[in-house]
Amino acid sequence: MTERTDHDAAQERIDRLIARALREPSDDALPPGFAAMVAARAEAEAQATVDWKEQLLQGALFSFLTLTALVGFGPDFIALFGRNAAGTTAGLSAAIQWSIAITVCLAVTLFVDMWTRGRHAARHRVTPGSG
Amino acid sequence: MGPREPASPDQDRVLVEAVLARVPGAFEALVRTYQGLCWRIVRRMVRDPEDARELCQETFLRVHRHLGQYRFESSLRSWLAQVAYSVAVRHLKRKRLRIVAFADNDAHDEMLTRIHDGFDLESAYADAELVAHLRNAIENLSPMQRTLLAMYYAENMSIGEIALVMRKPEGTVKSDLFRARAALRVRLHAVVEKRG
Repeated sequence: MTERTDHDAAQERIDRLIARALREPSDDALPPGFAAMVAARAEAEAQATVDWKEQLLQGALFSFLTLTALVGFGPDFIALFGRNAAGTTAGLSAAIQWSIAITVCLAVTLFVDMWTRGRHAARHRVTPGSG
Repeated sequence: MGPREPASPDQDRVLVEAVLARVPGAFEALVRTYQGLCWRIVRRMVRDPEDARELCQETFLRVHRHLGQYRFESSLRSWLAQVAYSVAVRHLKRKRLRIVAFADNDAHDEMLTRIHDGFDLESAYADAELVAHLRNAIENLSPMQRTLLAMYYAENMSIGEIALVMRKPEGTVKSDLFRARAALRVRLHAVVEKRG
């Protein structure tokens, strides 16, 4: 019984020393500001995923609208070319005006999108020493 | 960066829900709470400090990506330790480094039978000297053994928690822990013998 107790005590002591050896702080560590740096990267990564999904959605929507326009207005455009010269010119002029308006809208949207993205990237740019 | 008391389940839930709701600063707070644990686990597995830092970063990025899948079935500490451990294991496998070392079991077991439980370390060393030898001996264990001992002794994790982190049955963890402890004793005994 005594022998068993001695053994237990010795074992406990060894356990205590192992714990002490393992708990001693190491010489190296994570850099200061690690949490802020990782959080910024995670946020930027999450935002990139959202952007990618948005782009996919925009692409799908654009394709759908183009297809709808082609199916809906395509026959009218074809019919337009079959008319007399005056009618064709007037019709084409209206079509060109609409095309210009749509192109301007798309250009503005793209510009705003690129500008927002640029600002976001600048806000979350992470350098090794930052944080 | 010593071990700190684990956060309560309520604190963890609040923190996780805040991160999922994208509350500003919530993820940073989560990282700050668990970065010490992550560092200690990864550092025990990986020798190169630079690699360890990158792996810690990878761990938290994975946590951020997959936090929605955390179901509060285990503590956040265990879940995070599991991610850190698997990231480190994958790194070692990619670099084809040794993870487990029980290959010399027979020689090891024979040595153990010679070193009976009465092996008197106390008379061999003063505490500080013994701890220094222990640290050295720990460094020479396999990454898996080092990490196992660190989780049990330094992080005060239960066998059940360690089993969850390492994805092993509890019985296997107990036996691995016994072997890791025994390996330390063998190494210390060798030092004592050398000392003469």
